[in-house]
Amino acid sequence: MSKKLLFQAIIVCCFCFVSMVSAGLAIAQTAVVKGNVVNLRSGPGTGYAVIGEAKQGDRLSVLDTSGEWSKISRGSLTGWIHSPLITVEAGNQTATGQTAVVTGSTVRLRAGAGTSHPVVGEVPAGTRLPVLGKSGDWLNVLLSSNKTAWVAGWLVRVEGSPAPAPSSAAPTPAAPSGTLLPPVQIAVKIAVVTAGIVNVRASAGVSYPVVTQVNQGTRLAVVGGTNDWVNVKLNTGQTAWIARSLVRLEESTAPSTPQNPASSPPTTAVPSPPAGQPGQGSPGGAEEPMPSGYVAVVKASSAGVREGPGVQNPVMCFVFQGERFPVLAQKDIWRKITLSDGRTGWVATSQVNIEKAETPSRDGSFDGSWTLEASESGGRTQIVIKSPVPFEYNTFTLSGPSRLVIDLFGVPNTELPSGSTPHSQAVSQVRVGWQSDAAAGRVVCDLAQGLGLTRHRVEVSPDRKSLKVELWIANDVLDGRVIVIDPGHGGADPGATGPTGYKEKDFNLQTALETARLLRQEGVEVILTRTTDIRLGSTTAEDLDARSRIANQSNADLFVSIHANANLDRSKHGTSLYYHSHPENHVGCAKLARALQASLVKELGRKDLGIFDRQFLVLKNLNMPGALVETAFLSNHEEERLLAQDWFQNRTAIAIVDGIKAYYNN
Amino acid sequence: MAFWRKGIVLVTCLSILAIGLVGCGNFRQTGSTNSIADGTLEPTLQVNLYFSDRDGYLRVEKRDLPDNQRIMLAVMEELVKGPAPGSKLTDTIPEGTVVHSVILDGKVAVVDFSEEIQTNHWGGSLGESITLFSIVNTLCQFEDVERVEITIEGEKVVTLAGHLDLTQPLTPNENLVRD
Repeated sequence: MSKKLLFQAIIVCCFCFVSMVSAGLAIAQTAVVKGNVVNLRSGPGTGYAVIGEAKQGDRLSVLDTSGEWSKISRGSLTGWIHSPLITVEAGNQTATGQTAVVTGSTVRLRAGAGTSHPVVGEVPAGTRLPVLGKSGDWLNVLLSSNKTAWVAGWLVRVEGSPAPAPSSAAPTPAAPSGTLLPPVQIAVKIAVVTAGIVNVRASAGVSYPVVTQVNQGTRLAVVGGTNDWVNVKLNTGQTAWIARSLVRLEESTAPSTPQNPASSPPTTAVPSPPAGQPGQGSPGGAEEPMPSGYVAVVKASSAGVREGPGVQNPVMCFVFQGERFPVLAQKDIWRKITLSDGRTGWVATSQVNIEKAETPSRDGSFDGSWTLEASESGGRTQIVIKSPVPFEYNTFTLSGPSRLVIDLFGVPNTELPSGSTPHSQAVSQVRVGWQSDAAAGRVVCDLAQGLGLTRHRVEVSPDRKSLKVELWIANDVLDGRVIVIDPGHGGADPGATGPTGYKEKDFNLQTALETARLLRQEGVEVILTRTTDIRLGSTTAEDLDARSRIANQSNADLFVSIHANANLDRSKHGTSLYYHSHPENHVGCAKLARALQASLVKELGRKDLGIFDRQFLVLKNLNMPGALVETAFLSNHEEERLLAQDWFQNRTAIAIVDGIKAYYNN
Repeated sequence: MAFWRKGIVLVTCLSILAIGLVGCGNFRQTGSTNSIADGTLEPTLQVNLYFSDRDGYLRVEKRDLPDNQRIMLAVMEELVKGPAPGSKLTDTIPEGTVVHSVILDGKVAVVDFSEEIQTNHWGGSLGESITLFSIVNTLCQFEDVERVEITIEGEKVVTLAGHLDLTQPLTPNENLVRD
């Protein structure tokens, strides 16, 4: 009896807690049910089917109205309710009083808190949205249409105190001068590196050069980002980019203490705007001087320069990719720069890289010009480009005739180095030019014709003043390919477990490492989605999403996921292959699955169960052909014993390599 | 008073379901009837339950269930119970799983299970497929159901065991079925 009472008490407590939480999570318009028990229908009218019911006092979000009917949502269920049976509360009564300011360039709005929810819109940088609530890293915001949506917390900066909601209907973007503003609190986001060793790049994309590498557990202040990339601040004060999938975002609880005056974002609250700047109407926070010797290098194709630090200030002019300007001061995400005509203006850090300036020579120009050397060694053509100042680069190939183009942003526009005609297998001629519209040096390698596929590899020096490009004719089908090997499951997700306890995640990892080793011997650039026993994200959904993102971001040629199968009935055994037929690369996926299956069955001698087209999440979003290997059944006694053996894992790896070769040869 | 109103709502809900079930050509009335407490007779309906054979394929077991408005929920409860004693077929739903609800949203049946369907699952691409398609194939025998969405403890889920995509409702898979 007492147990029962206790149980009831727990239920009541849980219910109260849930009610409190839902009251705190505000929504634009809340319907409170007046009638005792009210039907929810599939459409606006009594002719539509009843799909659920709501009870007196239930609070539901209003999505839409039609005549006397209101479309409402409760959890995942949406339905229509007769409007006279509800009372609608105004949205701002429950707003938090905080405003989210979009810092990413263009940010997606979603129907729910997570990237798995559909995109409902996009907003540009600088957009200010009232914050209604929060779920994990995601913020529920109110749109001008009075609808609500969710935005990723790492793509916005939250302003305003979480104190009681203001009584005015809409939050004011900038208070009139003279009014005391509420203290500004800037939420400081920290990116914690979750993968082993992670590349930090000059811009948001794998084609940009690696600036540095950071280890697992490194904590970096977030200054902005896109959906896939996070813009972080390094100890040097420089900002750089990390793939979103390789970090975990945390909100720092204490205000961060500045390491040096140049690198810390202002986190302290300033109660009133600085006097004497009426035209700049920026909410809170004075500008901080920057030590001399820093330059802002424009990384966006173009960036607006504003009269003050904030999007509410007018744009005075535009600056373009690769242009460099001395930095005078900083405020939040804004940097004050000196333009070439001597005027000063403000640019957003998302548009520029802040770098330590090279010391100019006495006449104000940089010493020297950039150089290019081409040489031939062991069948490989090597091109080394050196510049007196750090530069960014971009490479791409063109066909008819086939050539490799290397654009160099930020190299001095002085005397051009001369081209070259290396006595080379792969390259017939190297030409050099200047792209004045892009302010970039351009190197074009004309590739030798008719000798098979030319491959190239690019390497940049840590100071970004030197770039080495290697070109060669591929020896065989695998040489120079980029292949993602994905060991399934991991960390908190063990996958299947065998009758004696051997775990699928362990087989998958060991076999993937062996496959990677063999592929690298064949000249393949292998990307492993994990190299240790980890899950890529806090949920399986995040984990699977991260795996396909890694593949897409690396522009890989193929994706192979390694798994072991399971069934409730332990007698089931054999090898099978799964693929996901995309409309555009159906042929590639099925062909890869067939090639791998044939090779695995031949090498391992297990029963051939065939290939299956199934909607697997890890394969769903791939931009390249992909397949998932179900090597054998871990739930089967005999096959569990095999799967745990080194030699069987080695044979599986050999079979996968042979299967990939067969895929390319046919 | 409150009880009386609830009764009205329940009856309304059930009649909507009943209207939905009228004209289901897939059903064969067995003609047999069950005697219920107030002396009236309730007809039964023969339904298909998809269980797994030893080879990892789905096979049908026929079962008679009371032909009333909660038939979709009943059919899921029978699926969770597993094959009849003495059958050569095996379970498809992990031990301890409870079916919370089956709600028809247009042509999509939304089935909510307790967390055991995930926490007690044996994994594997095949194991996961068999569980999911035994549910989907069983519910899609009803003419009103074209697709099935699976939720766990009332929440939408992305995947059951890390392979199949559950963000979109599933359609039945006939390739997994053997006669």
